[in-house]
Amino acid sequence: MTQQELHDFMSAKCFAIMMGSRNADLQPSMQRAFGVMLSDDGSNISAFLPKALSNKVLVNLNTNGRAAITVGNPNTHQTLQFKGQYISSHDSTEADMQEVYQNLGGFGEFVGNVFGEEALNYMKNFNIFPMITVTFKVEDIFDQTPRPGTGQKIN
Amino acid sequence: MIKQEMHPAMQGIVPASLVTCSKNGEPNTTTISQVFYVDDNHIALSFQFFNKTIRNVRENPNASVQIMHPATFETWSLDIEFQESKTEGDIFDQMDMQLEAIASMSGMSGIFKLHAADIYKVKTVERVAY
Repeated sequence: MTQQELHDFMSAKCFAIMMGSRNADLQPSMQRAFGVMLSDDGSNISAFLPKALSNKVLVNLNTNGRAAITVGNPNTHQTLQFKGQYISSHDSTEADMQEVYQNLGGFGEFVGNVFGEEALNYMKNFNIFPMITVTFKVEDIFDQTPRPGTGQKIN
Repeated sequence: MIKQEMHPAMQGIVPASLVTCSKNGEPNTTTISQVFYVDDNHIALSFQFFNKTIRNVRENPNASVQIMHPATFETWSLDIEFQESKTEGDIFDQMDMQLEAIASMSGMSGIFKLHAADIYKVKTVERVAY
């Protein structure tokens, strides 16, 4: 996958996003993110997580730093997994929140079309604010689009 | 441990998410189409084509799966432990049938193929308070 193809994928702004980490006993845990942003040069990726629910992932990342994040476009099923090393986290800024709102808009449209207005209203009432921004260095990217042979490293 | 209210979240309408970890400590996340209710303390996951996941749970049985109710989006996070893999029998047959329905519903007919039903013990259940 070229950098251009990667950025084209990321420009969809309609993603289901899950971030994985693990503790010292190798027990993995998962946290849903509500937005994601790849740096211009593709070296870092940031995920936007509900602060109130992110204690476990932050403890894990501050302890061992290993992170994985799956970014899936529900309209096309195209899915990528980014793996790498935790760099930092901070309270989400206004610029970060613009990414979140764009993704919530795109994903909300999908939810409304597929699951209906009632489901969309449930989603709109998610208590996910304030958010934190978690950034890690991208070491590997894998194609995880559901199909035979999926899981290939693509960077 | 698995309550009745969670059953709709295991019908495959909303894909579930799974995270595993290699013995070297590398987490791996993936989307899975099927979390199958076996009994109140066990679930089965479909082994289709997520090879890294299969490798991970055979060297480190700890995993975590997140499921979502398709109408209310209530979410539960289950810490689970891999126990065994079944390639025949009632659970496998039921999962195979359900997987075909899920594939048809999601426009993925002909892509999903059940290789095995992997059985996991449920260690903890936590409701995610969105």
